[in-house]
Amino acid sequence: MANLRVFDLQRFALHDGPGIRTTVFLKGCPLDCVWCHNPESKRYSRQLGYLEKTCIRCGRCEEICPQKVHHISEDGVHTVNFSACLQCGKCVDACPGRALKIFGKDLPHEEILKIILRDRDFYQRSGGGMTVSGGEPMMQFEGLWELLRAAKQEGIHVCLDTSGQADPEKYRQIADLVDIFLFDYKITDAKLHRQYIGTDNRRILDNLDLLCGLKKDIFLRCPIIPGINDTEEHYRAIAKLSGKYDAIRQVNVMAYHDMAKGKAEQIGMPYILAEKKTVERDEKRQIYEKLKEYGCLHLQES
Amino acid sequence: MYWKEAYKIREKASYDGYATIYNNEPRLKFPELLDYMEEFTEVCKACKEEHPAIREARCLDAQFPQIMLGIMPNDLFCGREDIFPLGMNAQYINSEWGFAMNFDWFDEKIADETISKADRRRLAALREYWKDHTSTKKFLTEMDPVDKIYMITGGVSDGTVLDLAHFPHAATALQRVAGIFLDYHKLLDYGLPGLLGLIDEKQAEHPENDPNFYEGMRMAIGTIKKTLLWYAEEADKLLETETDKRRRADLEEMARINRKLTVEKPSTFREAIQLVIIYNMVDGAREWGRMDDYLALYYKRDLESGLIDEEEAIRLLTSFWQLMIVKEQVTDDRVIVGGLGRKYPKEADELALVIMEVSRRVHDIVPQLTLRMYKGMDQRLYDKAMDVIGEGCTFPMLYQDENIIPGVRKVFGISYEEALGWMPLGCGEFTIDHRIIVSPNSVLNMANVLWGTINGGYDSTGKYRLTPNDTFLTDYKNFDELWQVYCDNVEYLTDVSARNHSRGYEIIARDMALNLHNILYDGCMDAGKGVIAGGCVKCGGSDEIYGIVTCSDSLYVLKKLVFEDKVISAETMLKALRADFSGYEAERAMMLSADKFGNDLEEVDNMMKAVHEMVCEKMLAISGKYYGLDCFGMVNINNRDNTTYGRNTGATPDGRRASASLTNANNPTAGMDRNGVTAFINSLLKARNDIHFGVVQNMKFSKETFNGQRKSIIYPLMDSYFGRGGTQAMINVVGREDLENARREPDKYANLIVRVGGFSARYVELADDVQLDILNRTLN
Repeated sequence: MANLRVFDLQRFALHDGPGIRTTVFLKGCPLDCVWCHNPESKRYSRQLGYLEKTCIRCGRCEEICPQKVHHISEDGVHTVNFSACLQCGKCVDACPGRALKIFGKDLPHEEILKIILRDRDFYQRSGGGMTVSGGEPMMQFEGLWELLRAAKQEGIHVCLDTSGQADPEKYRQIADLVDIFLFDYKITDAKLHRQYIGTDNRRILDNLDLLCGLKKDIFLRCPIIPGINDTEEHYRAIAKLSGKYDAIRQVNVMAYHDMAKGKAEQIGMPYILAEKKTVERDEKRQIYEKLKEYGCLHLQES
Repeated sequence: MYWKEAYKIREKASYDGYATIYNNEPRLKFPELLDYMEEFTEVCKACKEEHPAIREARCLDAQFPQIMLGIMPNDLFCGREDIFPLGMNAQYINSEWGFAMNFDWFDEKIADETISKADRRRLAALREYWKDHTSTKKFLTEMDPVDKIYMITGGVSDGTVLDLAHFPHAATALQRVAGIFLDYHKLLDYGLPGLLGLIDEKQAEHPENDPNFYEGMRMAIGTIKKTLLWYAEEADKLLETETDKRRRADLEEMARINRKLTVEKPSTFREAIQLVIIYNMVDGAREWGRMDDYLALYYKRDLESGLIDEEEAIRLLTSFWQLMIVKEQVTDDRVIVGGLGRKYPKEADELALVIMEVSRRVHDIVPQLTLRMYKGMDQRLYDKAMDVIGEGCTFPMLYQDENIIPGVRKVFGISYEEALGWMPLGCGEFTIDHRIIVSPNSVLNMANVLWGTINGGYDSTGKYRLTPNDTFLTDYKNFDELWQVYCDNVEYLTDVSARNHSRGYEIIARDMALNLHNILYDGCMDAGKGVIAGGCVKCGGSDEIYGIVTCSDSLYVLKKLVFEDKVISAETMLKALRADFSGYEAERAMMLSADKFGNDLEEVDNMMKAVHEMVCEKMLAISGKYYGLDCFGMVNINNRDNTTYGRNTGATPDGRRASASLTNANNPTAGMDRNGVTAFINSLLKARNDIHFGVVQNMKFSKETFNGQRKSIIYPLMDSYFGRGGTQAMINVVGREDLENARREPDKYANLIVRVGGFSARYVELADDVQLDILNRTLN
């Protein structure tokens, strides 16, 4: 039985599919989107996280770490050498205030399911359920499949949030266990796709075609990042897709927000879009209007 | 008003821009007030030896019409009353009851050199007499010296008042009879003349009873009539100069109704409301009961006959609401709509919708509108309630009958039919409509019980004794030993509180018969006895606990970190707490990062459940033990005193700093419920609901979630909560930004209403630490 590497588990999730849901976030992603709102999800490997504002500079981490990852200067500046960290977790145990943590916990699917089932009554009454997100959950296919099968056996509604970048055969295998695919559609232009995401979008579009052919319900999730994909070409393509496939039940606009900045800092990663601002309500409204103009169907606020 | 309640009183300016007219304009000039207080004192002295019913009736009558305020420009009903620095009240004023004096006011005036020497001598003479004759003084003087150690820990400033706010204490008891729900159906069905007839009838039926008992009731009704007539004359006077046509019509109607009610029972909606207001005011009761039901037929008839339309009903009720608002009794004024057991459910539902609309429009902190829900309830009521809540009114509060009635039956030992009359009084304590009195007079600060338990019986300063044990945290070999002493302390203090609570009732019963209550409480007229003298079906009390979660989270930390994992020694823990964590930041960080109640985590939630059950059972065990306490139980409802009592409670092992707020009611520590609202609700549902006398919970939602996803998320969420046994919810729909901005620019946020605990308040009028407590609560 395979464990799943989880970096977060969010209850009362209201934005990852219908109704009240619990979202399981799995670690690791084959893509490398520059705006990724979960930078801690990108690598499969476990990662040390440090939250400066809860650190009380007690120095216990520095004392205990064999790799000398932590250093607290006399004037109270805590520097973390992330690259030296072997994720042994000793500093996390020693930290009295939970300023340190390891992103990535390996959990058997049964344990995850137990937490999922605690909110069963809320799912039933709201038409909600479990969502598995990431990272790219398909990267942990074996454990994912077991988790989804167990959830299905319990009668839990399942959403799978996927980038579309995975082996088509695996999508075929898992399709019956998923009620709704939350399928990302990020950039239309193949060249830009490679530039901002690290790969072209051919496989993603093929997989979308595949799932639609299997008549699975799809919510098309479209992150809109100003300056990157807020182009007419892209809006037009989204609108076109919404008309092309009956399986696409909803088109969700995911307007850019800057939460990733703080999270990237926590794991010692650079964040390229540091200057970019969250898209506010009015701008979001304009994006909707544009998509509507191009004839986008099933547009839903998200 | 001459009497400052513990919370901030609004200044006159707070009413700018409101239709409500400020009450704080004394009608009597200072010399008149002084004359009056002397006359009142003479009456009290003269009837000192008389039967309590007669004495009370004479003293009541001596206050009217002097303490009444006139008709204000927007009033459609008569019923404004001042609170004098000296008087007698069947309910309570600032936690005092019976014959009460505001000594602070007197001291201030006696020292005021702008007042003539002669007048100051007169004031001093009054003070001299009353310092030994107030009801509270009797209560304190006769208190067992040992009890005094625990109950007030030196908190008696000069032996005249009970000062609970400024000294640490673990337990105490007030002297009062609160939570009066009169039988308004009976009042309206009989009218004043009918009630007089009924009193005669009952006296004739029961020659074995003391005739004074009935005479007192008759005299009290006489005082009500006198008040009505005084107001009728006031209306006449205003008519002499009033030129506005509509206002003239209203004044004429007020004069007509007031005169009519002295000789006839009410027949219209407007007449019925006037009678309810005037009776309630003279009686001193503070709750309005099942208004949708007792006014239902009047509303329906007037609507059908075309006498009024819905807008006119709203206009009338708005004026009624305004009379409640100016009284500033923010922890009372319950108006209850909906629920099982109403006489006219269908008609009442129509009025309930109107009542909710009035509260939506008036948008103020009283009445404390309450919706009793039940399976099969008209969906329109629920939808309307959610609309009103969604506008940030904090009202109505929601209660689920099916989840409450079985517990009420059990803890009060009554039948299903009787239990249908359950009412949440003041902040949410259960009582039974005009049948059982359950005054919440006792208080237990759970966190200070813990302090006593781990600190040799003393508070964090080591100066005030809180509990009878002499043991320290360092003396306990394991958690079970500590737990046992903690339980023993709860039992001991509950008993001390209940004993004094009972003693308070006895003192009251010697002083007053509670005439106007007795007329409208089942059983009294037949028994020939007052409501707390064995006259009504049952009489009981409740003990209000504070900081249960502060305490259970703390006990969990002690169990886990000190006794099981041994990562903090008992000695270090005690030192850290006494030092308010100064020099122990790392230890505090460990305490804070320990699991906390409200996250659906089994072990720590079970600790809360265990504390809840233990304290409920200890308190239920008092039932039947003392005079006037046929039923006795725990209430976990809280107003703002989780904050005021917190000020005198040392640092606690959950990581809370000294003087910070204790947890409110059944809720997690503010901001510590981090696993989402579903986890929070699952945690709430773990504590048993069939062993207490009322528990409340606050839920805070953003406007976006509550209004934007009402049907898809909020309805299912609440369905799940109430469907799985949830009894009550107080829902605050507010933005964090609003709260933050209101702290910066209070002038712009006068309208921002929040639910504090067992009462609602204008956010900007709350004390700073209470504001913070609310700001820190998790926003879903």
